[in-house]
Amino acid sequence: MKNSRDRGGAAVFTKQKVARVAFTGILGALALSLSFLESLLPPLPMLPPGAKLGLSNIAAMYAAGSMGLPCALFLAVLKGGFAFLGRGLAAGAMSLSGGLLSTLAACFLLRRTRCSLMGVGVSGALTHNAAQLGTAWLLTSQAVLSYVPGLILFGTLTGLLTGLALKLVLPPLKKLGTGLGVWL
Amino acid sequence: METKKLIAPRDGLLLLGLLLLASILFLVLGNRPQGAAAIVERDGEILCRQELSALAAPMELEFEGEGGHRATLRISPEGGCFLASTCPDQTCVRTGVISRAGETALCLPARLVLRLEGAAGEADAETY
Repeated sequence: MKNSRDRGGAAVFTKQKVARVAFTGILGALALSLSFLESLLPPLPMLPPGAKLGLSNIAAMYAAGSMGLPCALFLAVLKGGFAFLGRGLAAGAMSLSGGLLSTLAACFLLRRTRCSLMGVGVSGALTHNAAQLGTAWLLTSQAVLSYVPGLILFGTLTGLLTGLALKLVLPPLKKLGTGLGVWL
Repeated sequence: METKKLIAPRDGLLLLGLLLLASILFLVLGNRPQGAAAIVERDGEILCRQELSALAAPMELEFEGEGGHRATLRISPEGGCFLASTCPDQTCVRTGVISRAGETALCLPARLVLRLEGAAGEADAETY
């Protein structure tokens, strides 16, 4: 968006806006389909209940890094809304709290620091877990804290994985975005 | 974002710290004794408390949770679990059997928590 004023008139600006909306929609669809895909995986024993890979964090981190905070927050709200519609209030609150906090963390780390991508992935996963744990605490009781060690360990592993995946999908996503006409 | 490194030396410190933290917590929590009493809570309010040693055989209890969800819990001398729940995500059932003091199984949609407490007088039981 920084360049939007230098590059021409209102028509170009509108086109750029449309391209950004379209690309945000694609990233949203990507986040939703990734989270659907991972829900098909069988739950693994020994893991904290409800622990997931957090694949949709890949789309959220990409949005935070390349499109900016508003777009990334929109993805988190969209995903929370779908969880609410599909699986009820508790799931919606869990998804929304985790999504918002991890998006804020990813946006800060990607845009304001020189943190590596795996560092961002791990921080994103752990802040996601922390926010969800806080929500679960509010919804039930302090008893949920017994999941903390498992969540730290599993969150670190999945964070490394999503950080690596982010690195791998950066070129194709950028190509897709520029193809749509988004100035990334 | 393309110019960012995949992994930086600094990350090693972060990972080491996290690994250390998780293993300390695992050691502290993993050594806890068998649960002595099962407690069922809804929204933080205790619905039922059962001393495990007082049980001769497993018992099944049904609880009404929030949002009209119902859950069936099984409490046995060894521990407890969610047998069934009408909630959509079934995370509580997949948690399986818990047996150690401080372990928890919970159903978020129904706001039901099953947790195990250590024997009275054990200061560890409530430390997380």
